[in-house]
Amino acid sequence: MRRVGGLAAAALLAAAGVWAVGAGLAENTVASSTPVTKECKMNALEQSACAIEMILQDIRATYRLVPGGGIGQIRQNGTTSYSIELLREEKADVFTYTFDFSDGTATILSKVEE
Amino acid sequence: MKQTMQFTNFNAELNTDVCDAYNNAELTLTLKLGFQQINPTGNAATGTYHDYGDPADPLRNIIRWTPGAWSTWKANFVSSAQQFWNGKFWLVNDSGLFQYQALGQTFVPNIYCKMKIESSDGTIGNHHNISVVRLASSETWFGSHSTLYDSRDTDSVNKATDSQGRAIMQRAHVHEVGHLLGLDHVDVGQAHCPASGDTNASACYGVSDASLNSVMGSGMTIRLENAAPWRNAMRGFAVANALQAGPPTALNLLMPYSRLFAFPTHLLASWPARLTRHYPRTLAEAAAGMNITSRITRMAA
Repeated sequence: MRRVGGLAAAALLAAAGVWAVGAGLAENTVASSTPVTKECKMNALEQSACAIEMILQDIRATYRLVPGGGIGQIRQNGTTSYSIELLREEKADVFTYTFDFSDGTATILSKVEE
Repeated sequence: MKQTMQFTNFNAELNTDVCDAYNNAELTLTLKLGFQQINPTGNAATGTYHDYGDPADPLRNIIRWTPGAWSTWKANFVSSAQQFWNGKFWLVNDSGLFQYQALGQTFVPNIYCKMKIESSDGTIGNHHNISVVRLASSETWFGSHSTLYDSRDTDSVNKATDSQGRAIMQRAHVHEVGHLLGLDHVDVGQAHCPASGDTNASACYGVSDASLNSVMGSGMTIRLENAAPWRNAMRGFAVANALQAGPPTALNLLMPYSRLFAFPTHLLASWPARLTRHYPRTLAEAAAGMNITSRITRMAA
């Protein structure tokens, strides 16, 4: 799988704009400081793997708690929606990400904590 | 004099017998906790139990409690939680209540905040009942919550990471005892954790390093706002004393709550908390707003 290259910079900036719009819409949207766009091969397996890698990258960068039980599950809710469950004391945190998969690029449109 | 009041989460005792020229009144909050064992089914030595007690969540390996392990765990829980919460706060008496005579002078006591846990194996008459699993040695973690603990919840564990990448450690049971006293998570009420929303959301444990490090976040640092249970109890004692104050006049007998209007300072007192010892003050010192934070030699008047 290829990393985001220089040619994708414009797309990344555009995606950041999409992210910002999305962030303003969802009530429980959580901010992210990690790249929200990744170039992916677009067969179904690679698309899922790409989304999961982006979720893991975002969690590593933004989740300040240390869930003692680690990751409970990562689940595909729908074609463009994935959730990750983090097992910590008192409750399991669930973050749901919405993606756009087009033009060989995966873009995080929103991230909502349930 | 010792006065007691019962609150939803704890019992409170205000002891003014200990007051002298150097010692304040003592307010002790007592938590009555009932602990119940969770053992493998069928009296087996080993078994499994779901995180959070929820069949939808992962299973962890557990082992049967022995009488020795059970009593040791409970004793450790009680002593370490008490040690953490006991004697950490002083409340400044801004009501003028509970005056007493010492060395020929009138003093106004501040309040020394104490905490005690009484544990039992029963389920009746407790403020809170807590079930406890004993983890197998192969397990490092179990999904516990305020009424379901595991045997490792008294250990110091990495709960979060600060902005510099440093580990923030916490012993889960002191955080949970904070909840049992009535405290909420550190950032509840802030924009990123509205009180009307899920107050267990990750942001409620703090977004700044200071908040993350607090005991009601993911760390072990006590903050002034953690004195809220003691302050609430003192407001209760102040109202009770206002209702009892003064001679039984005809007005008081007909309208007992009229006494509250005669002693507004009792009701308006906020009992501000401090993390350092504040010694009793003379009437003049209290009137001048002085705080005595180091021991000074008091002479008989």
